Amino acid sequence: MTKKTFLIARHEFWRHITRRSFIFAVVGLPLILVLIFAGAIIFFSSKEDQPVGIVDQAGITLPPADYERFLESVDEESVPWVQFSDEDTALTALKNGEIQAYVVLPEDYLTSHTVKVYHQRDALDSLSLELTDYLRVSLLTNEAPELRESFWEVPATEFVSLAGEDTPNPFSVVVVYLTGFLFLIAVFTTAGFLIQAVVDEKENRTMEILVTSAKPEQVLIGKIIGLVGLGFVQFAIWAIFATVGLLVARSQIPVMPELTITPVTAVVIIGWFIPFYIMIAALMTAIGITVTAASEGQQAASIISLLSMLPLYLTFIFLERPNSGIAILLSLIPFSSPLTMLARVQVTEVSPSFLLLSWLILVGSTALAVFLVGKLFRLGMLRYGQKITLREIWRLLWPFRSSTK
Amino acid sequence: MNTVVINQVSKRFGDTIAVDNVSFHVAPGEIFGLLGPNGAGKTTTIRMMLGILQPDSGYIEVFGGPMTEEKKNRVGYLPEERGLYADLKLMDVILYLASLKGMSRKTAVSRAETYLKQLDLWEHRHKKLNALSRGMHQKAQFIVTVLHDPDLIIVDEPFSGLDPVNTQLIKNMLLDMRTQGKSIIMSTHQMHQVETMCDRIVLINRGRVMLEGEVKEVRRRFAGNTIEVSGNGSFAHLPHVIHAEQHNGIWHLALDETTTPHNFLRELMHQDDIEIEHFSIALPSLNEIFIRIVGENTEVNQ
Repeated sequence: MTKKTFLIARHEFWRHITRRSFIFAVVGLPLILVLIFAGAIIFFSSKEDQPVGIVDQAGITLPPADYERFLESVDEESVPWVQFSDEDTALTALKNGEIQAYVVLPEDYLTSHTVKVYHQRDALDSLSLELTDYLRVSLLTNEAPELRESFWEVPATEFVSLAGEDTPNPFSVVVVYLTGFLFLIAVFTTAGFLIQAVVDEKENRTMEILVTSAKPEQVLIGKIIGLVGLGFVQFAIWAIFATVGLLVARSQIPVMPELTITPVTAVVIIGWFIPFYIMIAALMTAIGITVTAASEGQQAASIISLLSMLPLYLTFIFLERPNSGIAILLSLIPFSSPLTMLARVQVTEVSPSFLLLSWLILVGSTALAVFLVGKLFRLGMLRYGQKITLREIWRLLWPFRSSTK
Repeated sequence: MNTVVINQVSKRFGDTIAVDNVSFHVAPGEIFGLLGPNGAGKTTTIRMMLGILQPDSGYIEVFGGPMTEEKKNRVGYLPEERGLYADLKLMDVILYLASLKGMSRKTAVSRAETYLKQLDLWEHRHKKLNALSRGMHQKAQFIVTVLHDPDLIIVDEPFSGLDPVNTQLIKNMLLDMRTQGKSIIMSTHQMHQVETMCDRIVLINRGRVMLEGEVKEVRRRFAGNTIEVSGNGSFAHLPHVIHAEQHNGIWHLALDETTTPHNFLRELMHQDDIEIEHFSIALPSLNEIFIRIVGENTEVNQ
């Protein structure tokens, strides 16, 4: 990379990274998700803190204080329980807002196994589970402490896959696939900036100044590198949010499975998504250079993004029938190959020769896109208020024509 | 050594000949006027000079050879259509474009401060360009053009959007740069500026050179049988005078074809009732020459 290419790349990177729209796109989305989760946690935890009444007509439950002591001994928590001698008192407490609900255990509970829960607003979703725990501990109160404690424990489970060590679990498939999807969003967000930047520079004649200071190729490559860098920053920030989210989730959900990424998946993430990004950036530049306003380029940009996102709509086909005709076809089309391959390599074994074929088509298309945009850039960089026609593009690509001056 | 040599250069876009066999040169320490009507081929010629476009035939030398990346750092270009990043701050834009011209940040900051103060933009350096007036924008663009101390300065309509005070300011700066030995190519339709600033001119119309030479010599070349005279006496009714007009005490006399200014003066000297204070051959303005050449050319083509 020449010094001028680096200067242009750096300028493009900093110019866009400080844009409000970029900051909103990068930080806004995860922040909204965090706020939603935080809101949900606060909402549910407030319910968990509010006591639940119990009217035990069967006389089988432990006094709440004893139950709490037991929970402390096994390092667990529960919704606070309050015992009422009769339903009227419990009803009054409910109406006064002292409790969120109350449970009536009938006299024949041990044979009927039915209870009634009275509540005003929505009661705690996990109330049945809370009650089950309470009843189990109460009923086992006279048994040996080990029995009572082991009854409480969730067994530490080790899953041994007989399908081979590299086969990831469904959780990993979903996470990896979502990662690919997020990357695509990052690609198209920043690529949108690229169209805007190129159109603006062309129409406000900044391009004329730039090309008298650097070669058109340096301007073009600098722009693409700057924007690709921007996309990686966006993706990296999202990845950090996602990793933190996963770690938090893991600490809260003990049964959450391990995230495993096979070597083939890693190869696809790196080998497919990087050339794909360069190809998209080149095409977006080409769109920017051929139109006179960014809005005119949106249609072409939408077709490209739709094609790239197509595998997402067909996810279930890929996961259930990874070697179907449509899956194979989309693995070979450069726009759809990254997401399709990402889905397929996780659920089936793709032959190395097919992987190579898909990759070569993608890399070849990327090279063609960069070549095309290089030619278009020279043709269109100084054409103000004038679109480049499809005929001109065709003439430009015609191999027997001399290069445009 | 000439700073720019353009030799028999032609450029065609499809079926249109934009530049047709154009030749001229620009020397150090001169202001060279590149004139012509809209669409004459001036911008194409400039773009070929800058290496943005390649000529179909002929050759262009800048600083003694073809344009290179290193040479681009010695050229400052103010395009006719103004273009800077509207959403960026003035100082940031200046420093970025200076960096592309190979300037160190320290030097660029120091020179930018001098120019911004000189052109009364220092207070606005942290403002975004879209918050500046058209005249300020023009001055900012001029700073970007000359900040890196180029040896070849190409300015296309440099006074566009400027008030008389700022026009004079930029004019003086350009004249100073000429004194420093810089080569300045100025393209403008303001012919009175060309007359007062340019040493030599070339007039291009429909891609072809119609006229080239020193400004004074060109005006003399186009001087007709018209004289300017002042003094006492009745100048309007003298023999050979076919048309007479008086402006600010000076008579402009158009003579018939049977005499020359020289013979007319000799005859005038023998007139007892006439006292001469001033006598000169009336030189046409560049504006008149421009209109005459471009107009004739248009009529011929029509």
